[in-house]
This record gives sequence, C-alpha cells and structure tokens, in this order.
Amino acid sequence: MICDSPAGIESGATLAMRHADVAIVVTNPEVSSVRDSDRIIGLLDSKTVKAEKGERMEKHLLLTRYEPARAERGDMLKVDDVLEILSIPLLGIVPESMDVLRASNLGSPVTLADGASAPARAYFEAARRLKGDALPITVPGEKRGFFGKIFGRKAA
Amino acid sequence: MNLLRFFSRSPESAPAARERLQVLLAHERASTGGSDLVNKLRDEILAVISKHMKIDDEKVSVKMERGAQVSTLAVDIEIPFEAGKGTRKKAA
Repeated sequence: MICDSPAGIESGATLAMRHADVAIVVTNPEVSSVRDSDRIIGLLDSKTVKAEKGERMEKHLLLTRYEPARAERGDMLKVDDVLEILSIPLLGIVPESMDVLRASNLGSPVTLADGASAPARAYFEAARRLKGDALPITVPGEKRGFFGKIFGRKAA
Repeated sequence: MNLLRFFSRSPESAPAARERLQVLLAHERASTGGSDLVNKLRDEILAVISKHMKIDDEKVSVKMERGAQVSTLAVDIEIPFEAGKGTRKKAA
C-alpha cells in the first residue's frame, strides 16, 4: 500500500509516515525542499513505529523537477549535491516537464496522461526499482534538454 | 540590453545554494540532537511530578534555548484546578 503524504513537514506528513515500512522522500533541487527533506529523514529515523522499535527505516530519494541544463550551468543543485547532503539512496530522477502540469490540469497522473513522456518514463522506472529491478538510473542529458543524451548511472 | 545580459552571465548560484544548505543543516542537525534531550527531560520531569499530583500531559512545555554564553531550560507546567489551587507553577 502506498500512502501519499502532504507536502512539507507538518502533522500530515508525520501521520502518514507513522506506520510506514519503507519511505520515499520526494524532493526538488532547491534549498527549502532539501532542507525539509533532511528534517523528514530525521523524523523517519526517530518518530515512526519502526524507528521506535529500534529497526532501520528503509528510505529512498526521488528527485523531481530536475533541469539538467540548469544544473550544468551551475544554476541548480546537481544530483550529486543533493545525494551528498541527504545521503540516502537514489530511486530516480524526474525531469522538469510541462507534461506534468498538463496532466494535472486534466486530472490525471502524468504516467497515464502521456506514458511516453520523459517524466512518465522516469516514474515507471522508479517504480520498477522500488519493486527490486536492478535498473540503472538515467540522468536526463545535460546539454540538449530532457530528451537529449541519456547516460547510465549506477543505482545507489 | 537583453543582448548585454546574455553575454554578461550572472555567476553560478548552485554553489551558494549548496553552501547555504550545508550551514543550515549542520545547525539544524545539532539542534534536533538537543530536542531529543528536551523530550527526555520532559518525560522524566512529568513522571516525577505526576507521582504527586495529577497533571495534563498536553499542558506542559519544555523549552531549551541555546545562547552563545548561557543556555536556558524553561519548564512551564499548568496544574489543573482540582489538583492544586488553580495556580500555575513556573520554573525557569
């Protein structure tokens, strides 16, 4: 069962995580988002039933709204920066895309609205990795936008 | 003007974001370590007081403030009317 939590670190998030077995921390490459994610990771390790029993909470990082071109220009935190700061394994990278808002406007997840779009593919791949498939993580190409070069990346 | 802006690119902002995060999180991680201590103190203080009188767990606040020279621990416990004389006991 997958339980989506409200964004941020308010009570909604702490309620949603309380009985979790595995957690996916979704973050954007910006300061406020990474900061909240760090606090959520702290809460996952201390305020969940699993943590209170002394067990280790399995955590994954899903980086969304990533713009490789801006990261390459030095105007956005890079994947490695975020991974170094949060130090939890990466589940996937979802590129910034207009398809997401378009799908949201239609009231449909991007994976159903346009399954061939870059973000949809990223979500499908992340889901497969969560299920245990050893799929290399693809970083959207750094120079020619999202649909440009794609190179393999070792799953953390 | 736009052409000028195009050629004089502003400096990279990602290193600044990285540095801000590192400073911010180093500070926050240190203070959350402290809040565990505060929670422990809260639980133990509550246990001691509730041996002697009935208190409402929700009406207890324990705050720790860290200063450069001195840190203070403020404990504010509200005692229900029936348990005491309807007074607020404050210790700092």
